[in-house]
Amino acid sequence: MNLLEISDLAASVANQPILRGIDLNIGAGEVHAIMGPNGSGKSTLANVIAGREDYQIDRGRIALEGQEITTLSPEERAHRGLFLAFQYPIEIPGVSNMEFLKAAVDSHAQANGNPEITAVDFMQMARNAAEQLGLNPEFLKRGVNEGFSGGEKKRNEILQMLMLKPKVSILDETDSGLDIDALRVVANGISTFANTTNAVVLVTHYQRLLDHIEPDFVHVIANGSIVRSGDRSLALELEEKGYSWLEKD
Amino acid sequence: MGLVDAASVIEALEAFEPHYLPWLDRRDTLAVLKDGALPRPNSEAWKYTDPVPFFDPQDNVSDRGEPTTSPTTPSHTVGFESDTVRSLVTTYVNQAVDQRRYPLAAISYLKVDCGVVIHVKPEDKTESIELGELDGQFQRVLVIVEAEARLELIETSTGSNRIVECFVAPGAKLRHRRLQPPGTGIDYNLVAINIAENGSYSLSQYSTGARLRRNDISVNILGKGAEAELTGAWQLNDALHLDNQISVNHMFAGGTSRQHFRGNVDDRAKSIFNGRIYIAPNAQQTNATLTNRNLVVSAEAEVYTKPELEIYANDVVCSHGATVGQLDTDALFYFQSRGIGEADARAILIRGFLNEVVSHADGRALLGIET
Repeated sequence: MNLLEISDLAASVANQPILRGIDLNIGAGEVHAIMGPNGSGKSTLANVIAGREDYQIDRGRIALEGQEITTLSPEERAHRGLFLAFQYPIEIPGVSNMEFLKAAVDSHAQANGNPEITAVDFMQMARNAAEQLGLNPEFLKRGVNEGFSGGEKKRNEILQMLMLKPKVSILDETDSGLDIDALRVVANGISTFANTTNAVVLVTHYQRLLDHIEPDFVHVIANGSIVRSGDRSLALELEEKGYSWLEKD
Repeated sequence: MGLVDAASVIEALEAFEPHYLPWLDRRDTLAVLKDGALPRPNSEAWKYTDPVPFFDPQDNVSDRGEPTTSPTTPSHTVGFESDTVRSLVTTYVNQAVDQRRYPLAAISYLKVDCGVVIHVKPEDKTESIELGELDGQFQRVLVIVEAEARLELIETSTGSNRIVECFVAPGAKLRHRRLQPPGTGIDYNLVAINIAENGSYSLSQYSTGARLRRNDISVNILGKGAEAELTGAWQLNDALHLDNQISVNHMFAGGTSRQHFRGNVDDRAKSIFNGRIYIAPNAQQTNATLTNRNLVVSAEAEVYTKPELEIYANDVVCSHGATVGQLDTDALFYFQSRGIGEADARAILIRGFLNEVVSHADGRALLGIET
């Protein structure tokens, strides 16, 4: 069974159609890349899957492990194993990273009927994840994304992914704003996390992240539809030729 | 809003025969009130809070007769009635209060029925004094921190009218924490502070509202190197009302003041904030800042906030800002996308917002923002 199934999904923002019928199947153990020019609908797709309220679903369905999630709240989708790494992570002064992470992890345990993780185990887990991403554990005490550099914010998104262990992770432009070294660290974090039971969707404009994480499938979105799907060679072709030849199709 | 019948208020005050501290000189105060100082409804200072209920004989202008002593008199506090503090009382009382600007404090002085003095000298090594409820309807607290002395005052008061005058002598340090639990009635509170050269005063005020609650705060910076740091947070629910009117008066050069207040207003509650910075012509090299940020989480809640600057010196650094906003929907979605339900997300965001100005556990407990 596919982990994530999207069929004929159309969505709009403020009555402006953005997605015009997307079909996408993602299986366990797969890494997909969704590419496309600016404004093509990549980020909209990511946000609609995560359940953002600002978007209106006009038709179609989204299913996670065979169960429809189209009408579920964002938190219910998260509890069932969906994760969105934000393109622009939000700064929340006054709420520590640790408190935020603990509330997130506890909410998952509670929703899935699992015992609450002890404070000691939680700290250990958070420290390990921080270390894996080259973040000083002191960083966990700071306000959520408060005063973080662009690279730190993106690493923090991946840290949350490592803590929540989602089945399907959608990483929206996680490579933007990262320098070469940070890109390598983040890519390593994602690669280590990806396994045969979960799936990763990389939403990106450029192919440079794909030098570090090899995708099994590459899809190109233009004007709200998937106009081409292929393997990794498609990404390389895009790198060479740009997007315009596909948009004209 | 009704009208204050000034003549009948004055008449009642003139006829008033004090049982408590008959030796206290009340003539100047009465003269100020007769001279037209009574609050006027719809005046700038009383734009959003009706002053009339503060004069309601049922609530306020009543003689409760001979007061009893404080139910919990902490050490280092002495009642005004004690002969040992009479000279302190006559020397200090009303020295920090501008009675023309604060006529309700003037009335409270005429009707005073409970007073205590807290007097700290450097050799006292007093670390902390807790001042809870006092048994009086018109309370007056004199806090005198002598040169180079230090004091932490932790004050809790509900539903009473309390005027606190603080005198911070040269090089002295007063940390003042003030907890205001919810009240069901009408209360008027004034904290008036005089800070001398190199003196330091800090206020951490944690408030909920009352049916009507007015907090006036007046700080006089009276010497070089004097510092005032005022922080406050409030959490208003139901139909509670809180009106904070703050005036920091830089009367001398080289002083510093910082004001940082935040409030969260829910249900049908009403929050009013006015932060004034006054810088006298001679108060050069003053550094003064003021911010007030408000969250409004209900469509029926009301928030009025206004910074007010009066600057007569030309070599100063002064900044101010006031905002009123709702919870950030992007932040809410961020929490929800991590599995945190909307109600919990709201509570954490409100806590985070207030936390920026709350640094004491008892403050967090009062505001209901414990983790």
